[in-house]
Amino acid sequence: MDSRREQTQLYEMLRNPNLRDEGFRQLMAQYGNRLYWHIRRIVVGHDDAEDVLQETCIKILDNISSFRGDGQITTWIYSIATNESLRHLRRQTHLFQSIDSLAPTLISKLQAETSLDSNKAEVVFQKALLTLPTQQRIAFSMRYYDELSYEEISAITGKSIGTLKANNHYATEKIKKFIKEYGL
Amino acid sequence: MKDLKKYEMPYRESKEYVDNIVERATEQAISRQRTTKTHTLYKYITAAAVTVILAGSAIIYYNHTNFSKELIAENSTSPVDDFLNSITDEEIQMLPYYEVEEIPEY
Repeated sequence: MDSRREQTQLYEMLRNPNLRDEGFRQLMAQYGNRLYWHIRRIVVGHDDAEDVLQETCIKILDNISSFRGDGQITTWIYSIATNESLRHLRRQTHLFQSIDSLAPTLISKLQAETSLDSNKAEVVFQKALLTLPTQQRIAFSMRYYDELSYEEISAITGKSIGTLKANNHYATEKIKKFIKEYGL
Repeated sequence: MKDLKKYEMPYRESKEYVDNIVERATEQAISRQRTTKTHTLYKYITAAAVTVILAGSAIIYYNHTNFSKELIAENSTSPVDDFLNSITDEEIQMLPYYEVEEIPEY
C-alpha cells in the first residue's frame, strides 16, 4: 500500500469541500482500476462490476465526511466496494437463499465473458475460486491479487487475522485440489 | 498453480478500457453529488419561502381580524349611548337617581 504521507495529503483534500472533487478524482485515478478488478472478481460480470463501481463511487463521495482518517483510506474504499459487491450479489438471490448458492450462475458468467483465446489455466483458476464460499473467496482474492496484508483484509472484512489465515489455508488447498482434478 | 501468472484475469477488458469506466463513474458520482446538493439547497429555499408565506399570512390574518373587531366596535353604539348623546347636560342632571336596594340575606 502507499505511503502514509500521500494518504494524509489525499485525506486532507477529501476533507476540504473546495478540494473534495479534485481529491476524489485523484483517489479514483490511483485506486479505481484496482477497485474495478476487486469488484469484478466478486460479481464476475462486467456490467455488474460497472454498476457496482458506480455505486461504490457514489458511496465513497457521500460518506467521505464520516471517514475519520484513523485507518488507511484504501482499506476504507475496499470495504465500501466489498459491501456494495455483496449487496449486489444478495439482490440476485431469492428469499433465504445464501449468496454462496450463486456459484453456478457466476461460473456461467465467467464462461460467457472469457474469450476463446483466454488462458485456460486462468479460467480454471477463476472457476476454482468460484467454488469457494463467498467470504473466503473475497479474502483469498484480496490476499492473492491485491497483495493486501492480513491486517488490511481484517480491517476490510471485520474478520480476525487468525480466521483469515485459516480460511486462506483451506482456500489454497481447495483450489489446488480443483486444479489437480482438471489435470493442470 | 506454479505456472499461473499472478494478477492476470481471463477477461478481455484492457487497462485503458477500465480506466475509462473508472473515469466515467468518478465524474458521474461528482455530478450526482452536485445535483443532490442543489436539490437540497432548493428544498431549504422552498421550505424557507413557505415558512415566510405562512408567517406573513398569519400576521395579515391576525391584523385584519383585529381591525375588523375595532371597526365593528367603533361603528356600533348602544341605545344608552344614543339616549345620553341626545340629551343636554342639564337634562342629564335632572335624570332621577336610582338606588339599588340591598338584597336582604336569607
